[in-house]
Amino acid sequence: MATEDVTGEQAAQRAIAPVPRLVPILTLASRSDPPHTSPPVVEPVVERATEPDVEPAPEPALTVDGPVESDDPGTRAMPATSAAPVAPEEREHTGRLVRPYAMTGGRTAADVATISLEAQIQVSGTQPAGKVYRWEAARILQLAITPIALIELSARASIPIGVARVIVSDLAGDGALVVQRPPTQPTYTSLLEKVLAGVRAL
Amino acid sequence: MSAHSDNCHNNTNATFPNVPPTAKIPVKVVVAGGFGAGKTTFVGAISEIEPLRSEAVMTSASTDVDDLAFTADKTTTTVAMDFGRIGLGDDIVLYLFGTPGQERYHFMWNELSRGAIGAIVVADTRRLGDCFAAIDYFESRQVPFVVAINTFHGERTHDVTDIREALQVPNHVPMLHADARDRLEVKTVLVTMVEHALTIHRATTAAA
Repeated sequence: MATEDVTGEQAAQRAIAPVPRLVPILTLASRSDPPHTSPPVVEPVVERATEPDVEPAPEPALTVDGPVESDDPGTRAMPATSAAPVAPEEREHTGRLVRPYAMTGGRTAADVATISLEAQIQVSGTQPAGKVYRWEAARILQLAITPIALIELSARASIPIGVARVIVSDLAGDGALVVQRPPTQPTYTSLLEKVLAGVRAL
Repeated sequence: MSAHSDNCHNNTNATFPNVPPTAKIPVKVVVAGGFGAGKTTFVGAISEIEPLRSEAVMTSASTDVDDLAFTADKTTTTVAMDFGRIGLGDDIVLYLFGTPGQERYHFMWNELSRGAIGAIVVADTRRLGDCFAAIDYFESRQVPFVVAINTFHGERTHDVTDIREALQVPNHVPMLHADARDRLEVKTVLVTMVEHALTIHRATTAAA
């Protein structure tokens, strides 16, 4: 009898316990969703709390995988609003059959010195000895025969920006590409004046 | 004699056959606005190239800012960004980046506005709320910006003063009507934006 009471209390504590844990998540949720700061958000928050358990896989799932995932308890716990399963066509709309970062051996832009989106990139004109470039790298070298911005390389080669950045960085490291350093302007004012004259002349 | 000078010429070209003597200076402008506000049309009206689309993959690292309604079981989300390019004279190349105006794309705005000379917020009077997040963002990061009210089919349904009040944009921020399809009107917005950036920059350097 007494033991039952204790377990009852423990159960009650366990039931209460998760609530304080949810507080920081709740603030997070309200930050990303300012108009709805009223208490009723609690229910979606609970489901949000289960999300990290489902999500930590660092690599994106292949687009090929199918309805098997819907058996995952985490998935079932998703809020009703997002419960409508995403149609396979929608998931495949990127048309990618290779996980994006597979092209870079799993490395992400985080370990690459940041090349800005608009940085001008061009082939150095010297092919590093003993290097044979294929696929995306070869395509990037081809596109960079004349100076081209990182973002444009990404678009024209149909590679996500982060991946293009890693490949460009590798190629620059090999000496096959040059990330140009634009001539410095005397002052920022003079640069803006030049830009202004330029846009006025359009 | 001539052989010698030829030789010299070849020498410089052999190492870097394609590198021009001076590299161009890239500058960028962010064009922000809600879906359907006319960002890509705006960029396309003045770009030398057809607007290109590039993708950014948002991984699970940023899921807390992602909208759950996007998908239930995906660990990555792909965000598309349209951009255009304009050569200004011989030494400057300007990139116009169209970016979605929702708050959940903040991670991209940081990268976009780093080093940007300024921003253009394209507003659609039917959905003014769509540009609140962009305005807040540029204001707080002190990115010079102007508001372009897209006049779809030349209709100016609202007065600039009313829109300014609705958006709570201070008077010093230029706000003008522009048809996103019209090259000249888009050019005027761009000129206004660069002038505004220059004014702000001069004021801050004078104050410093």
